[in-house]
Amino acid sequence: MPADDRQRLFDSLWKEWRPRLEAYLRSFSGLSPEDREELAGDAVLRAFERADRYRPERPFEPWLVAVARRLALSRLRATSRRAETHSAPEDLRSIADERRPSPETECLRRGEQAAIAELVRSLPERERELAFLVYGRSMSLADAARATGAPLGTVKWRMHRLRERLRLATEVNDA
Amino acid sequence: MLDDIEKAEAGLRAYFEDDIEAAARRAPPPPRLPSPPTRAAGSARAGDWRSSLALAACLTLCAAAAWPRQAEGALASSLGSAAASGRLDEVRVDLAAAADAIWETGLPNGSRGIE
Repeated sequence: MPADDRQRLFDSLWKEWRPRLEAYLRSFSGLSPEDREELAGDAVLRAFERADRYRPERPFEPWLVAVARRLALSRLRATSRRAETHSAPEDLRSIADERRPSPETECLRRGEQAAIAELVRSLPERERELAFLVYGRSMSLADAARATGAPLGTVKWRMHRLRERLRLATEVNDA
Repeated sequence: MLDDIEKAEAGLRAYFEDDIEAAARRAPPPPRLPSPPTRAAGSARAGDWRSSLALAACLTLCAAAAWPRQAEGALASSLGSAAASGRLDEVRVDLAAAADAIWETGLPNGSRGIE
């Protein structure tokens, strides 16, 4: 393939998928913002270089997420950071600094944003990851299982617990 | 206030969409790729066809980002049929041409994907 076409393909992948991967990597509380930025780019590059390992009959996004996930876990292992805790408060501050709601949804979010941010902060890491894939990316549970390497039954159980947390959150707000 | 689960789920979608948009605003430009090693004609690896199909699939999904799930289904079906045809050696995707077509036309609803 000519170098220009190759670069053009890579640029399109970078533009379309890197932001999604960076947002996904927020699920790993042991990663710093710098880690997430670096790993999101690394994942796109890795996927591009190893495209021959992608099976076209399978959905693309779970495969790409799995690439990013492996890089994240490798980084966490290398730095001996634990990824089993909830989001750190400083991480939430960085999120608040970076988040700018679009005009279309700003009205809705104004009253709910604090409650949603608190809800996300309270989620265990694996449920936070699942929430991103299912709600943030409209991924099916089967695809979420592919992306995370977890058995489908485990993913269904996590989804059940996640919805229970949502239900409890609404009850608390109603009280 | 989160009045019900549906509202909470909508809030989560908006929350994660914001995260993605924020990441897109901060995104650095893509790096320049290193030049790939050149191969003599006829020495392409067996996996090249798959790599080309995969990259074409990625590109198509990029173009169809507004309907990613529908596009994935159509694409998986199209590429799956090609892979199952047993004529893999004949499956060649001209990426440059495919890219141009996608840039120009996008992938409308109901598209059959790459043919």
